[in-house]
Amino acid sequence: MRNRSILILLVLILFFSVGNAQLDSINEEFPSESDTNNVDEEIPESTSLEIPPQQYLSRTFILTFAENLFKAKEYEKALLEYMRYRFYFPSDTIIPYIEFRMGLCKENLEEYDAAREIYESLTRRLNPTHQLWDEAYYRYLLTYLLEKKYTELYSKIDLIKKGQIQFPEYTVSYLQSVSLFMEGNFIAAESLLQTASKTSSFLQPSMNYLLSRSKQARYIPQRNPYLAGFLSAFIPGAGQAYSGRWGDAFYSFAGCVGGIGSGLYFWEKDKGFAILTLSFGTILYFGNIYGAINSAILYNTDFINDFISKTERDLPHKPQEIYTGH
Amino acid sequence: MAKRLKKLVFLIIMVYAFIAALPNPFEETNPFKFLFKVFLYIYQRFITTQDNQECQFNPSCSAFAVKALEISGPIQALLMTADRVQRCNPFAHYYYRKTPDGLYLYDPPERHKLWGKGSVKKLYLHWNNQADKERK
Repeated sequence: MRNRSILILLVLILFFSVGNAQLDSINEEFPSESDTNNVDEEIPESTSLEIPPQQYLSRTFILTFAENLFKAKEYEKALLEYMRYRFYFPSDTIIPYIEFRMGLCKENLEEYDAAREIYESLTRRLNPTHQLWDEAYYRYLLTYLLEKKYTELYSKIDLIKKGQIQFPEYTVSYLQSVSLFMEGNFIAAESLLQTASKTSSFLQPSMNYLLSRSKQARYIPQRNPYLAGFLSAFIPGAGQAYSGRWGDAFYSFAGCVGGIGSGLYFWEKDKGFAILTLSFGTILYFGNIYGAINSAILYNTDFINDFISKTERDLPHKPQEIYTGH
Repeated sequence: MAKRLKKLVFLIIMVYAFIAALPNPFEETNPFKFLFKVFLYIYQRFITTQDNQECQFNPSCSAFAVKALEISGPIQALLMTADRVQRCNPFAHYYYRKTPDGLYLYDPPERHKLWGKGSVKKLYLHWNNQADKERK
């Protein structure tokens, strides 16, 4: 009788814990009382739907307001104002510029697909002799670079190099060399820049800087992941030490040697305990080899990424800051 | 006999309760992944402290294992977790950046995936193969 009551009590506790878990997940979905109070405070008092005065619908007002919002980096609001301008004055001569600005807003909001669509429609509709065409096409290519879609970018660049699309060659070379550099393909970037940097253009200082940096990339310290794995297979933790992680190396050595060693030591005395420690030690041993390979890869990746980000920061002409439609 | 039956019933109820409490328990088709997830759930819910995150990393070691299971197969997830347990030591502060709140060390499992879709980019090999070709 007593056992049965204990069993029922335990079952009730377990189901209560399950119920609590479900309640927790429900509570996450709904805001608490204090949150709803804050939301109420944020609602403005006046919600009148009066038609604004005529002066707020003027061409110059909307445009200057949108431009100021763009300068203040309020891209979402600026985009709405540009859309408003396009809606009220669809046949205006500056509509391509407005659309270009809309593309820039989308680009800054990291909505690259939408930005690309805008630039593509601009390049399709505009005459290639139009002064905005080059800029729209450059931004179109740049969205691939910003999104790190390198293969798509190279396929577009190939079309230009084959002569199917007319576009300034030095700009394409610059964009391609920047993307190769950002990808970590320093040798290809160097060989491209050696020929491209000789042609005189306003991008020459940037090209020379990129060339010097891609030559410096030879001296980035590197660790061989295979060697790191091999070392860790012989002495647990040696691969981590090779990548400069001495703390991890010490703990890996202690875990593997302790687990496997105690398993072997207790094999005669307590087989169950020995099997348990041996299995833990073996898992730790293989994890140690995996970690050694990964630590060497991360060592290289971190150094290369730091090198790339420093170069990107000090570049005289950043790819995003040229051809902005001014 | 009656005692054994009671034990069995108790065990069945416990296993049912654990599985019922799991988020989407029968969605996982891989049995190894399912067992690993149940084990991690029991650890997270009933063994480790519920007051605070005690692990110095973010995601914590058990959360890392769950995420590793989601992004990779059970074998790689096991290796990643074994590696993480060895990396979770007092010297870790030297090798990892902190999270924006400054409380934990940031170490997502995506950085440790060696093979499969979305694995870590091996910049060394990319660079070194070309350097070797150039030297020859």
